[in-house]
Amino acid sequence: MILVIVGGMLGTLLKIPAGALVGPLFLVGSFKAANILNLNDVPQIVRWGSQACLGMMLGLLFSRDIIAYSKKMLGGILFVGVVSVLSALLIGFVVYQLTDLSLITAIIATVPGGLPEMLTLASSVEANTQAVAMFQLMRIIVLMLVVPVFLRMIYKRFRSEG
Amino acid sequence: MIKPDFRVVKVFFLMAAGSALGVYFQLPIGAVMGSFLTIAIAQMVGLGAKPLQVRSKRAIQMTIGGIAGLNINSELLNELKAIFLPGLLATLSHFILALIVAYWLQKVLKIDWFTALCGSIPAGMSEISIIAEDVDADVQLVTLMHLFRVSMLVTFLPFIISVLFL
Repeated sequence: MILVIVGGMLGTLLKIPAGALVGPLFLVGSFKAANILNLNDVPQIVRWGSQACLGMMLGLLFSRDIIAYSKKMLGGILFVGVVSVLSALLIGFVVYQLTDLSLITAIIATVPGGLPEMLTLASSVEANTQAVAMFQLMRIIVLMLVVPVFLRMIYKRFRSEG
Repeated sequence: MIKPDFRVVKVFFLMAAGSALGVYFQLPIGAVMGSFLTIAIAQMVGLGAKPLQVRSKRAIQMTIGGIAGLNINSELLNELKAIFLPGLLATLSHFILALIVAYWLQKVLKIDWFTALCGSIPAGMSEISIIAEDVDADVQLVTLMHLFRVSMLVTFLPFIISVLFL
């Protein structure tokens, strides 16, 4: 519990991407890897409770405004979702071929879903949570380093032209 | 006198009922999926509850991170070396795919280029929303695109995995 709180505070203060999740993940993980912490699992009720809260957190982001979008626009948004699912399977299969990971781990690791959602899925199907965390973090960190620079660069060029 | 907000009670009831149903019917990640689907549907029908505050979100993320941390072992460094290049390759593939999808959204749906790009790039939802604001993109549409992507993956991927691989 203390490790979770300290890790969450550190991750947030150091402004690490998804710091509240990554901080406890690595602090608890470091203590576990160093054999200082001898806890292998939490009570089932805690696991279920945190999963139910995660579902609530995501569900609350929906609102009635979504219905106001045109069918064409919603179709486009759905298309992005479908492409994500299909690309996840394809990229996951390629990663499976390139590494020693199981196919399930490779797919969950490369899926562009949220980090907490994919970690929860990984642990529920007994995939390699460690590898999933590493892959997901790498994607988030690399994209968060590259995307702002890339977008602001083309935005500047776009504004100077227009 | 402060009036009690019954929406909070409703949200907790829906969360508990949805997750219990999800677990009872043995849905993949049943507790997540049950509470997510119940609350998302209630919100679209008109529940009107506000999203969680940052502090609550952090508490949930910290708990999930702590639980996931229990699965880390001393093989971490070796594993990191082995997955570094495939990880970069996967990220690059996602980025290229996002550019293609954004191009399609711009051409076919006439969504402006920056909104399409911000909505298609699979990085963190909240971080991308901040960048979207900086480049004058439609932040609501960007958030919605990310929300649908994550929601579809949370809903369908567990089923695909359980049908095909378990």
